[in-house]
Amino acid sequence: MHKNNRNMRGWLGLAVLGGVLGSGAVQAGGFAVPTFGTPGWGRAFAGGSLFAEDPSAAFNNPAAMGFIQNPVAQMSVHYADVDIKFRGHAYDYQGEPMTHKQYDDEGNLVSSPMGEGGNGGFTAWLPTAFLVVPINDQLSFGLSQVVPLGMRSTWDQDWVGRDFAVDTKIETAGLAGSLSFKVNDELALGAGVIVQRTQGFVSQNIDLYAAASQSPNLGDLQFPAGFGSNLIRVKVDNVSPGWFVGAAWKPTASDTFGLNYHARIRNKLTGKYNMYADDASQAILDSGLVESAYPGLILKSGGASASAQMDVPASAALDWVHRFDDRFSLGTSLAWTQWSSFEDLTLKSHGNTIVSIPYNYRDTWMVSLGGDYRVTDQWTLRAGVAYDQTPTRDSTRDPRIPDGNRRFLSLGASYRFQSLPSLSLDAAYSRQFVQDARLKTENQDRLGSGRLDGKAESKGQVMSVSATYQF
Amino acid sequence: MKAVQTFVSATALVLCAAASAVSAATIAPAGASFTAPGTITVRSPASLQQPVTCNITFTGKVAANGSSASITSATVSGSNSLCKVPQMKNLPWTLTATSVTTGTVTGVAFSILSSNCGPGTVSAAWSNATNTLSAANQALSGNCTITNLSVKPSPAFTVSP
Repeated sequence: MHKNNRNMRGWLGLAVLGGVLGSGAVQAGGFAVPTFGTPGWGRAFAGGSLFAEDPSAAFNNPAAMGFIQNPVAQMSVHYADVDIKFRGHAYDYQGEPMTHKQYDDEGNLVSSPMGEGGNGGFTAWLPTAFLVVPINDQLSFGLSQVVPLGMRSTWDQDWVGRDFAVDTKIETAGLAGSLSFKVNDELALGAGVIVQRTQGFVSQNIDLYAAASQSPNLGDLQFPAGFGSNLIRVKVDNVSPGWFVGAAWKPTASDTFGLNYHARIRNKLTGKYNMYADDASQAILDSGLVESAYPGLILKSGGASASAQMDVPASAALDWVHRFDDRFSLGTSLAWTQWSSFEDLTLKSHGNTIVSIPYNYRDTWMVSLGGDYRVTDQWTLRAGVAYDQTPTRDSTRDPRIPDGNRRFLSLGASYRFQSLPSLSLDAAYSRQFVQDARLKTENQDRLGSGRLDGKAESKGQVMSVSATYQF
Repeated sequence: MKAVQTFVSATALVLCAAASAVSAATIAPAGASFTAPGTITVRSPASLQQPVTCNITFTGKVAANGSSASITSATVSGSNSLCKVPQMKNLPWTLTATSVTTGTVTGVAFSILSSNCGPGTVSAAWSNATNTLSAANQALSGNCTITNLSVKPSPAFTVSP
């Protein structure tokens, strides 16, 4: 009977969680989004999900669910505010400063300066939710809603780098189920599956005249760059499954170690592209000249289907939490992400390649240190620091993903109600200090062969609140 | 492409100029059908005023009295893909010889992508010695210019006072 009541409360929590998920608008910030609740953000993800009664174990390390005593649900909302500024110069294929060109009323071709892009950053709300339900002394069930991957950049449509990027948005929202098996009081194993939807959106200008100038099929004409506008917007999505496993080991009463692995998820996104072209550019698109200039490249002014491969990289993490006493616990983590699986961004339409941009990302490491200090029975304070490598390379980095190495400094607190000790409210603030990202890249011929020489200055902050309820 | 169209227009203009000359001169062989291959270079807004050179071939017929020649078609071609896009308009154009060495082509019009050039009149030069109709820097409405045109009619024309 006691077990039945406990399970009933657990399923009730699951239902509540499902209702919250249904109303949440998922958006992501940063590149790879840490999949933690508010307490995890408060300690800069140190120790993973090995801290006591942390339901984010349901996704991050399902084995750790084996050491959670009672059903627990947690709903977090993160608010991300990211600023990105471009400092530098852009040049056309002739080496001249990039300007916007148009005909005046008298038919003269005139140039006007272009902007620096404004704030390429964004603000976004990001909900995450976790539920852990012990089924019996050995088995526990977990449910998670997470955003494992998210990135966004938003530049002004008429900025000097419009031939490289205007808007970019990649995000995944996943629903995961997991099970843990407690082998004994020291060891637990876990595994789970995730079904996630990935959405990708990219837009940029294609300078048709500059691109034509790079084609030997058009007589080596040197058309002026920067004329008119021809924005391509690609929107694709896909639903794909993945899996993850973990192990948790408590060699002493004070130490917990965890190891988890999230497998690579292959992801072929499909959708369509649309062209937003002025009259001159539309006439070029409709004339078939694009294909004449670049055989195999077909751009339709009315748009067409589009596809892209955007795999979610594999990742693994080693976590350790040490409990010094009833008040103070400290954790550390070392996380690895196999970003080298992301070699290029290739957009295709009906089997023809629209563009293939090489990125050649490198695998990254993230190290973090943080902990909790229980000040009173009601208040717990936490803090953490982390260092996260960027997967981008100087040779291929562009304003679409102007990412740099970053440091996290996080603070957080939890308050447990005296009248309702099963409920706690959590808050966290995380500041990201991002290394300036060098942007020195040259566009492909079919994109106009323009050149950027500058850097992206970024900073970010995440504010997070959550409610955690133990049934 | 616009340049090509402009070029075509220029050619037509030159032919018209030649036709105009017929008001004071006549074209022989009277009543004969002809083709006139050559080259044309055109600047237009669609080419961002860059000169585009293509091959062009006029076809038409000399009037029975030799007073003019009617250009019924103008075909543009070339290795440059831009040469595929001009669209001739307002055909037939009329070539009139205004003297033994000058002429006009009237009604010249064409489009290149989003640029509409003409209709207008192109002034041309004629040489009996080289059987060449030529024109240079002939402006058309739509901010188009035939910067160069040179065609050789076949059978050869002879313009007489």
